Amino acid sequence: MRDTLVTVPGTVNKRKQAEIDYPAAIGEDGRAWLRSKPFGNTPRESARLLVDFGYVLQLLDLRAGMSLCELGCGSGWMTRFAARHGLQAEGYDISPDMIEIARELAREEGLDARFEAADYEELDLGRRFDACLLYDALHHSPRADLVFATARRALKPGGRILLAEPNWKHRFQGRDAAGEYGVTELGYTPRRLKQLLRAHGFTEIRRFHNTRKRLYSNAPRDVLEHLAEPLVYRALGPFWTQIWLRARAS
Amino acid sequence: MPPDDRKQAEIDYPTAIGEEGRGWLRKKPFASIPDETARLLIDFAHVVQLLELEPGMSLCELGCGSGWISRLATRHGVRAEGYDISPEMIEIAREVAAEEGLDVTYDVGDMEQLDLGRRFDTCLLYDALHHSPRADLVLASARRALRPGGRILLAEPNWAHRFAGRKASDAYGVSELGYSSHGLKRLLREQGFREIQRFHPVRKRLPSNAPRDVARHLAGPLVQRSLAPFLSQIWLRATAT
Repeated sequence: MRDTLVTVPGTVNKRKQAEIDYPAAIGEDGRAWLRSKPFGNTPRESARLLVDFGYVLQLLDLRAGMSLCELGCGSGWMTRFAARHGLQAEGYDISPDMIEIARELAREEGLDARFEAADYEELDLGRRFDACLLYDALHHSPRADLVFATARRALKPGGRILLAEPNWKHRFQGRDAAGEYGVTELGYTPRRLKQLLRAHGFTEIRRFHNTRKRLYSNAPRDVLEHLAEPLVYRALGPFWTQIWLRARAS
Repeated sequence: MPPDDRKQAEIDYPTAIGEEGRGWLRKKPFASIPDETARLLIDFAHVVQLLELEPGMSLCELGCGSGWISRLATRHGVRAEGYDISPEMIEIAREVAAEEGLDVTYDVGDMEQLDLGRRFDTCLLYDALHHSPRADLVLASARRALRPGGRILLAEPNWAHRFAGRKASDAYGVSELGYSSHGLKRLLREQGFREIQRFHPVRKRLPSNAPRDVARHLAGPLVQRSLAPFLSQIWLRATAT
């Protein structure tokens, strides 16, 4: 259903327009968060994002000198971190406001990261990247198929894609944002995403499982939670954890 | 080694390690191999969680080296100050902060003697304590820096570092010790810290669906626990009275 969505004339533009307008719609506080991201939030949330970037480095095996494109980069914090890591990093987002924020911050931080406004359902970057990242981005489009085609067109043969997505329950959790700003907040199942990746010429598709992203103390409760962690994540995986998928472009 | 020699070795360290070593000091935590950069960033995330760092809080980092943690903390909105015995380290730290447009205070100071006047919410010793054989003096400095109720966090390699660190200590004369968690807890108590809590390291990576990865992940907590005395990081958090 998701990728065969029947498009009533005008609706596609409306959903894309909502993504474009998002930074203007969320007010001063929201924009401040876009600028400070991943920092300046609650300890838990800032830590979560920083740990996730650590995972991105490991899973894409990112080393200085490699090239990375991030699709749906928003205000571009991961692209900027990647540039700091020595990568040729480029970030693309449909919202010119987002790209403007991203460029401003890169300039302030003295970073050589490139940002362009573009629709990740249509972009053609010419098979030149070692790695492509979709972090919390895919669920903003009902056309994951088109986004994967873009990612494939961006990657060198043998290049790798990594995606980190909320689970399908995000369809419900994301309703606030969807209702308020008209943005798209979907949730895909890992099975569906794997199938789409295969259909778009990706191989070596591998799923990774989430962790608690925190240290545990000697307190009995903490120890117990930690020991149970792998089992709990496995058992509840289908319902509430992040989906991480990595694949190779043929 | 006489105290002055060992301190001089720490002061001279940035000069001794050459251009490439100093390049790493400037780029840290970035631009290393993926595992190492990820490890450091994830450790910073643990620091944020364990000290519950929120914008507006104050942090002093003792033995900050080239100051990458203090810079990330500043980006997080924390008023961060970094202290290190080596003027050259402090110079690098200030330069990099200026390049990144960050307002961080860095000062040269001997972590065994500093008196910062009980004004900080939090104090961090990340991979720093094992550069001094006088952990008691360092923890006294930390206590003098913290307001009553303020919290200290230390992350240290294990006592195995006494052996693992030999290469650096032989080459540069710097101190590379390793404390046991038991010894550190006792010292913290003696220096007036309470609510001492130990935290255990995790594998810092995501497990895939491959059978080997799954098995490792399931065994992770048990392995980390049983081998902890030998090979894992020590994380201790405590509250200053």
